[in-house]
Amino acid sequence: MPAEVPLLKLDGLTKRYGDHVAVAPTSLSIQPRDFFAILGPSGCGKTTLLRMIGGFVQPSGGTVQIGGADVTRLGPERRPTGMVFQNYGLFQHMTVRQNIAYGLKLRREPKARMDAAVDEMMALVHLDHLAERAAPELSGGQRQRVALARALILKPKVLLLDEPLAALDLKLRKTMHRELRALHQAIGGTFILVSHDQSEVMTLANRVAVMEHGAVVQEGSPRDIYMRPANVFVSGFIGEANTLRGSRRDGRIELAGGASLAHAGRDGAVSVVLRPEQLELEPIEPARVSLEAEVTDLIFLGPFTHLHCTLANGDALLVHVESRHVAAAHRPGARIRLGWKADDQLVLDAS
Amino acid sequence: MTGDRLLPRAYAFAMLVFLAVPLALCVLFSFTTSNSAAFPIPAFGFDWYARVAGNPQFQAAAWTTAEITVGCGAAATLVGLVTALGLDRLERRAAVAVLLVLCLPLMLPPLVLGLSLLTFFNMIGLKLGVAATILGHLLFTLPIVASVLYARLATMDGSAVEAARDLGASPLRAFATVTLPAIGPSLVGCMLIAMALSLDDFVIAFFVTGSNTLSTLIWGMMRTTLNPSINVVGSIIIAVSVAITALGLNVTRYRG
Repeated sequence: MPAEVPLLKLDGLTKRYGDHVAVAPTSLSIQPRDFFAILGPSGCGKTTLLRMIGGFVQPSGGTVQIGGADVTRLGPERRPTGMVFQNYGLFQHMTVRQNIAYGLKLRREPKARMDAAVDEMMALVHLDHLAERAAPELSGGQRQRVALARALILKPKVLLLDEPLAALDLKLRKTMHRELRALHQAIGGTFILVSHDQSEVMTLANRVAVMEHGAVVQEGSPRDIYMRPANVFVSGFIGEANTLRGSRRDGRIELAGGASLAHAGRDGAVSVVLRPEQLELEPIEPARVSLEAEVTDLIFLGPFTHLHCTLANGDALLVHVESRHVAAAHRPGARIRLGWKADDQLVLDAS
Repeated sequence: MTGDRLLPRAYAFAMLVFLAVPLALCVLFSFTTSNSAAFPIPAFGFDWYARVAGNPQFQAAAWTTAEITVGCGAAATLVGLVTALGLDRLERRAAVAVLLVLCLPLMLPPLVLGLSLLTFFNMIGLKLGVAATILGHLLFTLPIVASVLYARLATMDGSAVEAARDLGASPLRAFATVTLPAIGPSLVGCMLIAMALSLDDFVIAFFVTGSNTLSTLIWGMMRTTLNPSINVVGSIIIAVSVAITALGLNVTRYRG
């Protein structure tokens, strides 16, 4: 990381509801111009964490610092953060223009300056032609843009996005992904996105924190997290992964599915994590680790084919191969050999 | 029209006739020039309206009724709004439980309610009159206002208020610029419905007003006189009730 002063610093930020720990003590540093994603399944505490940053949830412990100033005890109206809510929270009795101008109006900005800023913002999010449209008459994507413009017009130091695209259909979501990326680059802002959609996070973020059960389990670039997941949960959450169970004794791992490989480490239960694209059919090179499997299903997807296989112990295994490597013999019911490079595998000691 | 649809329609029509005819007769006889509210009607005119309007007893009762109606509308709306805002912060189950408790007075016979209120007001030394009646009417208008406003708040997008806060509004400012415009129509509608309910009440007014309202005035008149002036007062109450209710339902966009 560059030795910049973090724009946003969380220090031991915690939220408890009675005995329930919604967010375990969390410390994060977010740099200026980061597109930071908090990724996790629903109920993992990611939204609570974001709402503590925005000032909507009072933390049970820890601090939030923005630009070096402690804002932990400040209400949302006194923080330099802007929030885009999951269901947008548009002011239904106002037009697009009035919605976007709301914050500036509270700041008693002179009318001419305010109008110019609103016009500029509407152009940025492609809403100029809808200025006088009432909020309830907008489509999902348009609402999304109003919510973005309304928050961005106040030039917040940090823009908080709470699953902002969850309500949109897939096609619109992809368009909005591109727009969000472009917007982030255009204004050079710092965005924090909460999402349960790993592909969204991979598309948008340059840094990711993966949360499980109220705690950040891994933080890094999307590439780091995909290539070197910290545990089985992360490997399964980011991208697809095969987790083979096995046990290690005297530097050798015996997989329950029927393979054996050399791997130094503590004796005991281990998991070997393999991405579907790391597996190959009928390995010729003897250096490869290999095991036998039965094909149960075969899905042709153009350039790639997905093979669903079963191991001797009944474990399922998913294999993605280039379609040109698939032969007529690879049909459901066929017994095949699968192999992988020992460099690719990720061995995790059971916790 | 087939037979199996004819029967329910005929029944519904008969019910409507049964409910509406007495009201129609009441209004019809208020325009008679005769001395009795009966057929035949010799001629139609505003004779009785003029006589009632000039009657000081009627004027006093009308004024008292207006004070109670407007007072009850305002009080029920204000207290109901504060109640609903509080309920909206509770968990749904807790809020529904509180609403049920608030609704208990609706399940009591009005006679019991009126008598209890009279006893209670005497006990605490509250003077009978307009203020006591407004308090009494709050018992059965507040639960309705609070329920309607709570339902409205519960369906409101809570993040709109949070967005206002996020954009720099104080809690009060967010309430005034976001919550109030959103629930405004319901608020006006609730006030009008509370007013209509208050206007229609006889039993509680009878016990705790101490003087006459329009309803108790009719009751008194019926014991002493039997002429169309009763129909006139009745028609006035009907007209005002219907007008307030129609306006209220229209403003809240209540559609059944």
